[in-house]
Amino acid sequence: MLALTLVGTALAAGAAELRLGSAPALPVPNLLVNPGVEEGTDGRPQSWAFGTATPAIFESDWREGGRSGRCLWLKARTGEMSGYWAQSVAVVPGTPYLAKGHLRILSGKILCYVHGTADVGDGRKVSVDARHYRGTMRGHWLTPVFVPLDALSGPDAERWHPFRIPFTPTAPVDRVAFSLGLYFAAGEAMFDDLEVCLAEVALLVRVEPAAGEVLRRVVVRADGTAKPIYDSGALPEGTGVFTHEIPGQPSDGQWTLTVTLADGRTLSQRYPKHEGEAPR
Amino acid sequence: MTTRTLTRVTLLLTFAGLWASAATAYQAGRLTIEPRPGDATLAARTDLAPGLLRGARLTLFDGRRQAALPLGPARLGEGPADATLAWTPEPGLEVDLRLQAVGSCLLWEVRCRNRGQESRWLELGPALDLQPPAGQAQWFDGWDDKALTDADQSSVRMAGNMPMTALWTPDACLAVGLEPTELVSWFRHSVARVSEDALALSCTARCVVDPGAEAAVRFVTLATLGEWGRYEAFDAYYASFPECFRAHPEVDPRASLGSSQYRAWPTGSWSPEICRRLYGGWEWCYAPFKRTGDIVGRPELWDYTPVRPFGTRPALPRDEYLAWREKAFTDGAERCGVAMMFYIPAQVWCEEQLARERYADALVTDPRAKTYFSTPWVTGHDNELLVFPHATSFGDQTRRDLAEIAETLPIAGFAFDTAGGVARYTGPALPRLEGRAWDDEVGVYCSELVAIAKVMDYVHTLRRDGRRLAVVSNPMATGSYASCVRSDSAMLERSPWQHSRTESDRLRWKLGHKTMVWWEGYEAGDFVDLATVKPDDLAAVYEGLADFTLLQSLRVGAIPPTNFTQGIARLVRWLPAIVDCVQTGWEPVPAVRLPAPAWASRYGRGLETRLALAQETGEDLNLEAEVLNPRLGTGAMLFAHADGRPQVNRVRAGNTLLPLRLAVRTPVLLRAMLAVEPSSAVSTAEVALRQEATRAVLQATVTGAGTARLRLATPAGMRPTVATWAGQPLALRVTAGAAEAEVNLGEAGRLEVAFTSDLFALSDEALLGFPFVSPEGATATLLVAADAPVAVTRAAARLQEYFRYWHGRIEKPAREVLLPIRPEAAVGPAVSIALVPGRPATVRREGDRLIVEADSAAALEAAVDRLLQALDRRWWTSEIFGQTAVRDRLAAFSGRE
Repeated sequence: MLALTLVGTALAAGAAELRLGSAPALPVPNLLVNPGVEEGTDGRPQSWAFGTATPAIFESDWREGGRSGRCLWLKARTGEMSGYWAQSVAVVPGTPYLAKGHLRILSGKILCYVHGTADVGDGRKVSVDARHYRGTMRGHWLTPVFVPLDALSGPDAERWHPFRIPFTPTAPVDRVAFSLGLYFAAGEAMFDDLEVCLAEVALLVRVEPAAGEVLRRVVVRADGTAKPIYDSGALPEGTGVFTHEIPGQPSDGQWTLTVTLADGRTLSQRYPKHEGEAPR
Repeated sequence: MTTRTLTRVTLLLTFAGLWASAATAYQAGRLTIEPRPGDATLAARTDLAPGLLRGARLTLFDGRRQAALPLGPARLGEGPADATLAWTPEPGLEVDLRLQAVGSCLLWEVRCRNRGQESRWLELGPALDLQPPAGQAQWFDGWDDKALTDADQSSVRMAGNMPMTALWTPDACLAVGLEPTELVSWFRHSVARVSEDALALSCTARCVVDPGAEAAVRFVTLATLGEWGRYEAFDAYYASFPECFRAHPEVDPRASLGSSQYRAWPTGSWSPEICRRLYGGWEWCYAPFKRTGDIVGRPELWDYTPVRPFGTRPALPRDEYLAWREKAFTDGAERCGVAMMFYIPAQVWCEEQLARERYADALVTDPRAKTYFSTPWVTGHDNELLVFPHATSFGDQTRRDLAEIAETLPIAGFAFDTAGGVARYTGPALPRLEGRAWDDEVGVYCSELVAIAKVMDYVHTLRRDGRRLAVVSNPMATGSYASCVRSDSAMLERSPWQHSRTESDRLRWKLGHKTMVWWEGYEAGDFVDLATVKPDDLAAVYEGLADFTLLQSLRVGAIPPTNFTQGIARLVRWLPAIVDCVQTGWEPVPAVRLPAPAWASRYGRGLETRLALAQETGEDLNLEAEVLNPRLGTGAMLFAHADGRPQVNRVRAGNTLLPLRLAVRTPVLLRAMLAVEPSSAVSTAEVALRQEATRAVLQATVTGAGTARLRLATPAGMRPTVATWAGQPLALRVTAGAAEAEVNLGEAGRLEVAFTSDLFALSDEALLGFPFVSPEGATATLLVAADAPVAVTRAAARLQEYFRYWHGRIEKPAREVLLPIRPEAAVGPAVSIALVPGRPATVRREGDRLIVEADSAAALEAAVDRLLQALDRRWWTSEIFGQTAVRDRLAAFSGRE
């Protein structure tokens, strides 16, 4: 472990010191430039590029009222072709990543996807292609004459909806594009607060009992789950400083470390402390 | 490009009406072109719009030098013997042009001979010089209609463009395009401004001419009416090359029905009746092979390691797999009576190891195309590479494999998936390929469309059971023109609302009059949350989508297959009419004027005309449609509703006016029943056709003045027997296949014509009242002689299956009813089935005996088809919808009819 960043620390007077952290530290770095699509000119967010085979059917601009600041708005007048805003980022092959963000669908069908291709020799290629589709029929031209409005379902157009796309680039893919757009459907959508980051971290647990205290049990739970992701069981008498590493934990998770002492007291610590997006 | 791949077109070119005046003026339809020696421009004119067409010329571009190549002075009659004009643009390059009338098109065959040392990269084609009135012209770029601008415009959409571009005013439409069987890897439609008020409309193609070689490209030009814009050009194009826009006449006619869409692949307990009742004529037998690229299943290629695990069936030993396959095809063909189409991915995909080890010369490496699938695709367990299946090692193997499949399995044709591709092949077979083009990215290449077209042409050379094998394809709206021209019918892998309302139009245009079939299905989950939706809301969505499918099927001429129809009463009731329209053939010019937003589509012409009219708003519309009779044939056409209801017709200035109410989500379908000549003799008529299975009566009340000739449409499978006019016998005579009579028109003359079936020699009551089954079980015996031929036993089995299905699946509670098949019946009702040499097919009743006879296996099969359809009048069902929660409501759904 190269770095140990201890964010969650609980130290009651005369009590054990609990430290729950991760490597790398949370929040993990966002690999995107201009992830909030705030920067840019002429309706073109800086560091993002728009691609389609039929530009004439698309309109794009900023809209006020984004999740944070302004957001990116995209409209397709017909479903003849798909079109996407995209940014590419460097990645380490074989490493799990997460692409995520927030969207609102006013009409049509969106596709957010991560894609990349690399040659492996002999003309063969390997590729990454991880997708998130979401659609709504609100505003569809079949309504109301052919399809009753009341029957339609789809995400609330007035709310921001989070999405997440896990992916692991296969070697030698070392660069992927994160694309957000409308997928062969007339419609409108908005995107904001986008991120590509490492998908996993290793949780690092350290508990140091105060003088006279005896550690009995150490448990780590992910928020929203009943089953612990780690349970030390009954610790042997005389356990001093307790340390443990829990690999492969989601970088957008939240956890609680709970320590039980021999005298029956329990101490707990949450990590990370900041108010973030709700865990999965 | 010089090879004529379609024999029927060669014949057409030879015998079509060629008209050349003193070897200097060529005329086809409304276009006249007159070559002039020494002048690069040909005189051209159309009488439709004097001043619109100012000239025509051949354009030539040198791709290596990236510069236009002036042709120089034209020599008239100095080139090859059949040439109209000849040029020598520069030393070593000879160009000649042969003009020829084909239908209403003028064919331009441009031939280039390279006498030099270096291959020539050329772009050439005809241009029409036009001077349209300002603001009155529109341009069709092969895909969309475009407004004219000051800027030059062009379209190189190989993936989807019609091979024709058109420019029109209200008076005339001028068009330039490829001869439809021409195979080129690249073509461009353009409209370029040559002066402030003049434009050049052109279609150019790229070709490569090797040293010492000759290449030829064939184009067409035409002039026609302007009212329906591009559709006028399509109309002339289809009419000039009819073989390209109808199914090959020698393939199984079931290829032009709808698809059974996996109801016969694999077959299930009720498949035969489901397929028959829902007009599933052909089956898309998906991936009937273990390894993509080895469609035969050759022993030397059988054992290999896939990149993903085999499913159950491909994991079988070869003998077992092949036995399963043969049984699956035989079941579909014989038990269900479906034309089984052996699926191939157009032979453009091959399993990776196989492609690399055996067919490396065929690999397609186009950097702009998807050439490799590392994710599940054709078989699911293979990775697949894009290959070129013509004039390569894989192309040779493809021909051997197709022939062997045709010989060993009971198929009616091949189902070409991914049939519309246009990827660029640059491999070692390139020098021997025709249709090559060039660009500045890969140099010389040959489009995949050439290879797919060649494979399709080859399939049409194969025969089985006395028929040519059919090509049923999936080219998509963006598919190449070449695949569509060679397909006998095609699916559009879309529901009618996917992507856009009119995406299907692009495929329809390229198919011409051929059958098109929707694919996919309702996928209601796209509209509603299936986990929470209330049954009534879900049913309302299905009903709406079914109604939209009904309207679009009639608008664009597409048959909804089983995923759309099964269990939805309204669509099943409309299905015979939809199939009838599509098989009659969609026509690009509706020849009906009516106010927007209403629309009209036409099928057939003359007394075969069907008109579908509808609108897609939320309010009923009352309107008057005007049928332009001169576009349909001679005389004034008088229409009745296809379902038999009477229709009021008014005739004014030679056209028929139809007062109509177009209800919400409800089409009107009319059939021409009478033609009155002269049209000025008739003023009004109310026409109705009351039709049963075994007879029909045409009733018309006609008002007019003077002597008129009435020509009658005869319902399919019937003949006129008795006619009366004003209550008096009317003598009918048959001329050119239509019954006709002369009458004196006056006030409200009453015409009544009785038709009787050419098959059923009994009434509907006698047929439908025949005691096949009673509440106690089977009543009738199916009498089949002990030594009866297979056709007879099969006919009996179909009747037996009919009632087994009805009582076992549709009737509640279900019961097993099997009409016994025996050589003789002791007592009681019986259906006697036999082949009787020399006897026309008949279904008649003698007491408690129903007799079905024909003089050949084919005639007996057709007679049983019609017998079962007639029985459907009593034992009708919409079949069963898959989702229980909405099943009953959809089975009762009748819209506003």
